[in-house]
Amino acid sequence: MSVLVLILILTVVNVSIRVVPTFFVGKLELPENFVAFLNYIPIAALGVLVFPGILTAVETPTQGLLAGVFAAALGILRVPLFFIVVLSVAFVYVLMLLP
Amino acid sequence: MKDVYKRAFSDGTTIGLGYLPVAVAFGITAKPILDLLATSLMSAMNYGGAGQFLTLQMLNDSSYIAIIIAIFILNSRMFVMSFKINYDLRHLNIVKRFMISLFVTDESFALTSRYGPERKTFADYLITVFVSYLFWVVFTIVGYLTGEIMSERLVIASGIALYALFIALLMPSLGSNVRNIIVAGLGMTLHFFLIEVGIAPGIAIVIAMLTASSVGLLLELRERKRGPVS
Repeated sequence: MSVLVLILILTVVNVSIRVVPTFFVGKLELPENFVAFLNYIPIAALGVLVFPGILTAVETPTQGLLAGVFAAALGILRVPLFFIVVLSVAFVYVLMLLP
Repeated sequence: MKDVYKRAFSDGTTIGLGYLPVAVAFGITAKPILDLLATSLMSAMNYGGAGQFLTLQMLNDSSYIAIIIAIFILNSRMFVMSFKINYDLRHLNIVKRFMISLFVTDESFALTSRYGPERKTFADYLITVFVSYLFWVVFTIVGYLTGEIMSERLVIASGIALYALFIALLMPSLGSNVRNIIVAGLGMTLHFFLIEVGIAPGIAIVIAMLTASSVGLLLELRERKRGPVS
């Protein structure tokens, strides 16, 4: 089987996962508590996505963690997202130059 | 240009710049394994960073069936994210929500979840997700064609880009409320332990995400019962 067939099947898998909610969420009025629960999803997701992945994001876990603290500090200082991303990459680049 | 286009375009670009190095790395990684057509199609049609890298890795030694199951498990979190986006946008018609749902990723979900009521519009969402999608596809191809000229150190350092984006998105909500700190911290801890005990990464993400959110709800309910504190 060609890899293009695999890509097609994976397209169906990926698209289905994403669009199934489209069809039944439509006019749904969810209970208040369920909505409160949904509102925690982004925060929980961000936590889950950051850790432990950040330990293996770059060369060493220490560099990853230091860059995480650096990005968090920029976030607290309300630096725009774009610059947080670029400066964090530069930060790791500099860390990698250190002996 | 109308303001709504401008701000959505700028948000899409922010995600796109986080994607850029990852997409280039994907192009470079794919080069010895796939031809340019298959590589571009994978980014265009199997959109999702972690899943694409996993596919490449598994192509070496796994059956197609195993790859399909792995991708389904890994990307099942998109169901939860798409559910939330569709609920937030339930005032839009099904075609519009369908189009936006096609481009749901961790990053586009996280960024658009910060949009206030005035930004829960078709244009705001679609432009944001589509611009970042274009970055992903275009820079996959750029990486494939020109990967050799990028310094290896820069490619490695760029691995932090998406994490920096996630942290930057997380910080403002942590400041507003202790419950949010608990939910984010619990999500991290649970995810770590679930992976340590050997749960498949995709499932671990979903369990950690749903459990941490439930705890957030429970804490909120308990506080509501006690009466408003703040």
